[in-house]
Amino acid sequence: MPDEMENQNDSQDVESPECICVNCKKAPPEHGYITPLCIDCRDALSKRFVPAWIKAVASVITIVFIFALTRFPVTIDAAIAFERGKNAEKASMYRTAVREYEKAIERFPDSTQIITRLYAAYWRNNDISKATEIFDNRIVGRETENRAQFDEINKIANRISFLYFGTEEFTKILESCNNATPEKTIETLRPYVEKHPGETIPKYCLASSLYDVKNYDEVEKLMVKTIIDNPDFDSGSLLLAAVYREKDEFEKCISYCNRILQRNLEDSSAYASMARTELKRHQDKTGLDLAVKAYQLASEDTYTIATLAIAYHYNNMIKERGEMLALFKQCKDAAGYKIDFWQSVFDGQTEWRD
Amino acid sequence: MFIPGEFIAVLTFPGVIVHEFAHQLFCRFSRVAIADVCYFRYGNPSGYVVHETPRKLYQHILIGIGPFFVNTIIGALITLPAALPVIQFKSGGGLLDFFLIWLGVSIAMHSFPSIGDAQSIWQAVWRKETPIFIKLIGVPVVGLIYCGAVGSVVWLDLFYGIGIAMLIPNLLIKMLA
Repeated sequence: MPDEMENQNDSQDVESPECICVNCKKAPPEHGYITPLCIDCRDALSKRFVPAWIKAVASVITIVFIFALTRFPVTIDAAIAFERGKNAEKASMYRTAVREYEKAIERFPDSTQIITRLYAAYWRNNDISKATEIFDNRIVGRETENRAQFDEINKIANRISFLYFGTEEFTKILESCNNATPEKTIETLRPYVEKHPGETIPKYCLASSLYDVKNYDEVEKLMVKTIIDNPDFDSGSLLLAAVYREKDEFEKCISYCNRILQRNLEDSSAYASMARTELKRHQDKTGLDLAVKAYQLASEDTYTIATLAIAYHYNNMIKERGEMLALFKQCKDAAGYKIDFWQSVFDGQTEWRD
Repeated sequence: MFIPGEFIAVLTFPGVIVHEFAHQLFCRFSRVAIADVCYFRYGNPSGYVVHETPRKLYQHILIGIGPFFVNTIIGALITLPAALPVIQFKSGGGLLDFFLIWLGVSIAMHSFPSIGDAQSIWQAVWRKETPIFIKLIGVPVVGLIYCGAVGSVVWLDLFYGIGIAMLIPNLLIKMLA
């Protein structure tokens, strides 16, 4: 073998015209090779010694490589969840988006990127309490150089504040209505709403109390204008849908539910509302399908649980109705009067539909 | 600003070592005698393996191109778990993450076979005894190797390394999601 390299190129070939092993100069060269080396010399030279420092570097790289591989599954899972969340957002499937972003944020709780997307998904899925919680706990005080991200957060925060939060004065008035009858609440809220017609949440609270006393015409009057001005106020749209259901204007009810579903294909409340409407107009099978769909989307939601119990009732699925009713009674936010109402409907003491 | 290749090689020395070590390993697997190995040095080339001409063409190609795959795969796998949080989530970004990214990019950017490797394979492809269909396949392959090797002048190797760090994680995630 030549000792000197003619060209110091990476992986350079060496050729020799010799007919005896050019390395040991003793044995005959191995047949079939251009470089005349005997078997032993070729074996020895191909298994060239690896210096200790190279072994050390290779060991370090191997350790780092193994360490990187151990982080791989968790990181990949989070990244896949984040990507699926983005895909779900693009498809207007915000409940899926929320679920996926929640998975991603478990692994990377400090990522502004994930926090922003989760906040937006909560808002668009009408999870206002969760959106507010993430805003207060993780967004306030955080810095971002991403202008689009900053603008999006600000826009959502402003919308939530405008639609769902009242002034200090209104909050005090509302607190004074705690445990009050609907009639008393209406009496307390009405002057404030008349004085502040531009505020959304006072109108909504008043409309809810009016709904409880079955004053559907006034609820409609209050909410129609509010929804025209704020088409993204889903809670208002749901209330209006409920009003139309009670007034037997079923198509109008379905139309408001569909408006919500156009923005969020996975709004369980809209499906549940449509289910109740179908049940009310004796389309029991369709109502059951919609109620099941709503429950599949939000199995922990009181409204969807109650709706499924009602759907089972009108589809004569007594065992399933009993299970759902039991689940409904366990819900922390299930109002006592609603439990009593549905119990009396199921017992045949009260008629819910004609 | 002109930055000498030697300086870049110093900054990314693990990639040079992995590349040359891979050449050496493929020589060993192919039972090809090695005359000299330089794992790393300040100069051009920054590392080399001098070996005899392999008996078979596939050995030639394996020794010439093998390090490309070794460097790419190791670089990508080291970079990915750190690149995802830093690049995609803008999270993490601790010393450990940046160490992994530096190491992965360094290894990946030295994936390309050198012009010497390309010349070596080229000679093998044009040997009289090489079948014509191997020549047909070999010419574009060597052409690509040349492109990669020559492209290092315009920082193709660096872009490749960064691409491995950024593109592969994104592609992988998009495929799996």
